[in-house]
Amino acid sequence: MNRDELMKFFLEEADEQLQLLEQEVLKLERDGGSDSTVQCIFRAAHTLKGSSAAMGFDAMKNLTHEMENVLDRIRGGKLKVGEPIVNALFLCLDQLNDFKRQIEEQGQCAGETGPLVQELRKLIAEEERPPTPVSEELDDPFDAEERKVLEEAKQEGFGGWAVRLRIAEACEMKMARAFILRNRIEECSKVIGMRPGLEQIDEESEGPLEIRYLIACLKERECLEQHLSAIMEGEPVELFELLDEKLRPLGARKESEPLRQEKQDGAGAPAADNDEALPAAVPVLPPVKADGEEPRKITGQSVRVDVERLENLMNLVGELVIDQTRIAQVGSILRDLVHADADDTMDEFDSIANHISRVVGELQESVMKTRMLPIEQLFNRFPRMIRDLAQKIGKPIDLVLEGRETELDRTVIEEIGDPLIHLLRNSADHGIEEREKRLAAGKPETGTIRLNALHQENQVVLTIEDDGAGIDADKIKQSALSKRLVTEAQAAQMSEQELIYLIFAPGFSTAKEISDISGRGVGMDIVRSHIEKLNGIIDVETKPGEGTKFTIKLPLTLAIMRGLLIRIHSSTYALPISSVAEIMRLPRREIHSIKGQMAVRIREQVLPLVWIHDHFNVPRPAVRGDDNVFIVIVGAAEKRIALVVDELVGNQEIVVKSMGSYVGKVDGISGATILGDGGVALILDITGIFGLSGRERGLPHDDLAG
Amino acid sequence: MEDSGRQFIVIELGGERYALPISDIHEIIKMQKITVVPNSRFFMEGVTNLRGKIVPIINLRKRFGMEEADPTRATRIVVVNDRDEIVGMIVDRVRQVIQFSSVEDSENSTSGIDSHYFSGIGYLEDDFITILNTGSTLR
Repeated sequence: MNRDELMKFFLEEADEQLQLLEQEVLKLERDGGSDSTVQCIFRAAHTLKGSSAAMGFDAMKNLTHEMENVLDRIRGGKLKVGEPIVNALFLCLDQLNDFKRQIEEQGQCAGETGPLVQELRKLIAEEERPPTPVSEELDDPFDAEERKVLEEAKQEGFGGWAVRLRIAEACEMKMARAFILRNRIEECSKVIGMRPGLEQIDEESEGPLEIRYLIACLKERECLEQHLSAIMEGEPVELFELLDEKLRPLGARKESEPLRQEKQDGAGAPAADNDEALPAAVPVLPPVKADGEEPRKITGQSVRVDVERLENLMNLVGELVIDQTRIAQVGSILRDLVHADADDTMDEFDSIANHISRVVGELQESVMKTRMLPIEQLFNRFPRMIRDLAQKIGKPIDLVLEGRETELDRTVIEEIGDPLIHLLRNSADHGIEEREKRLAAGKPETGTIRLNALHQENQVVLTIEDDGAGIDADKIKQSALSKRLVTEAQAAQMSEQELIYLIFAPGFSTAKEISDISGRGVGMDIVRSHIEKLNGIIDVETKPGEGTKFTIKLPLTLAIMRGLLIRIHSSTYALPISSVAEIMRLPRREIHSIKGQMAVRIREQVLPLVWIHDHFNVPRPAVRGDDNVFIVIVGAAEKRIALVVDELVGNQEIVVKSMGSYVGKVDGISGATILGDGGVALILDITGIFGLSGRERGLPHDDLAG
Repeated sequence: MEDSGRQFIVIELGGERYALPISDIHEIIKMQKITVVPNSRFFMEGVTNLRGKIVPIINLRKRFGMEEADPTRATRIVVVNDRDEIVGMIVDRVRQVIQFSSVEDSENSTSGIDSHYFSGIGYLEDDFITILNTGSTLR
């Protein structure tokens, strides 16, 4: 592996670990930190230390090392989690993120870690206890529960022993080996406990792995020793030793290096003849269960794959999807052509074709799934952001995340991050009122922002809801007027909803003063353009005094999507289903002309209407007997438009393909897809169509945008 | 390589013969279903599906300002390499592969078509054929 690849690996891992770190430190702040949280933070810091050391990023390594020291003391119960520690950890996290950015951009990192390191060391120094070396002895001994089991066994005549062994450094998959050894020891005895537990074994850590098993056995010592020796034969075990139940070397073996004992003051272990045992000063470590609540992902069950490979796989599956529909079609043609005596063969052909299509369907689904990630990855970035923001603007805010497990395509996740950040900041900054105002309005002091993700058919729906002041349409109007985004006359004609949608116009901001949080007048514009790019739509609902809710609908994936097939003149076109808001049939006479712009009134809303035929230079459909036309209402971000189509053909999975640079950019077309009959259907570009219609007639919306 | 460099295929368009260097050719396919692309170049017929790839197709008759003709059984699409992509050209007929006895780089043409599209003339023993310049024909 060359350095570039290593670098990629490193950055990916760092990204993951930093996210994890952030998430867990937040948890630490909130809940005071359970063992698993501390353990998790420790592990993340440890992993980062290892990988940064391997890559030669010393600044990063040093900082994580110092973090590790502090965390280790927390883990050992020697340091209490408090605000200073959480804050210091956050500072470290920021610094690490900064390092990562530097590495990404310049391939190296440098920076002053001195003050931070001082801070961390001070935290430790404040505790009176002398620093203890980081060693496995700290977190070792078996817990009270296990001791009790042993005591019970002893009463039944079992003997208590401990086995200490060291798995060689060169051994791959030490965890699996430790597990196998445990099973083999079980052949001749009962294994009561194991330290470190299976899920605590760090596969990535360097050096040999030392493990201790607490066992109960009916056999005599000699016999047991023999048996164990036989087991260890051929195993990658460097050292193996039978100890007594208190982990002391057995009688005659005083010469072998005695393990440091940290006797539990717990149950079992009756005060025996050990005068050299340490006083029971070490606090009892809560049991770390071997099959704990949060089992660490077992290495070997997941594989890192380059996204490009997945992309390629997806393309190939796309080809198969197309061919499979074609095979079925050709098959039915063939059946008509061949003689009756070939019927059996044709039946066979059909059953093969059916099987292929089933397998391809499953293949497609599986490949799609490999590209899907839980949105959790993205959501995890937000609690910290809101925490910092809330502190800064002095409003207590509670961020509620729902539907973290919702999966969507990684490209979609990447693209939707920025818009969500903007919307959340906006809710915190503009939506949630000042503390006093909230109390005066009889609302709880703490504002709530609710972020939700869920699947709805082939789409993902994201909502951002706050219980703030709501959007004041009148204020929006004034602001838009003063910024000359609309004229008085235009504003007077606009409905409340239309006024509210002005927040998406470029250059709009309602904040009286520009803060560095939001309100630079770019936020909502960015939100809109990102969502447009994803073929998504956004809606706003707001109630004065009660809050605002943004709803974003996005396609699950970009490469293969559900398309609505429509006919315009003699050609079939596809529309991304995620852009389709509604399909309806309307009498022609309900199409009105307002100042030269065709429009229809659908429920309370007036929508601009487009004969796409005119733009594509084909004749409009002939008037049907019932005088109705088919209308598809499509949306791009917050805008809606009604398209007249000749016919609705159906909907199917479409594989998006580029038309290449020779064809170049065609207005109103975003790509092409292949149909079941082998023909090509062009995919309509909704944003482009808004442009087309706006350019010619000057829609009110586009006047604003311009 | 040198040989294929001097080999040409002869196509027919409106009763005239033209030659294309064989090294420019990707493949030759029968006429197939083509989807119109609105608002594209005037000589662009549309796009078609070539084994899962979307390939743009141009109409050489339109390109050269000839009268349009309905496709016949002989109509072919000559798919040529263009930069990193492939583009199909509809021609009336594909005749044969030939090797000229000599090639003259010349922009003078005997046919009525703008000489801008030609790269030279290929001579046979008692005949000569205009050689098309693929690059300028496409653009």
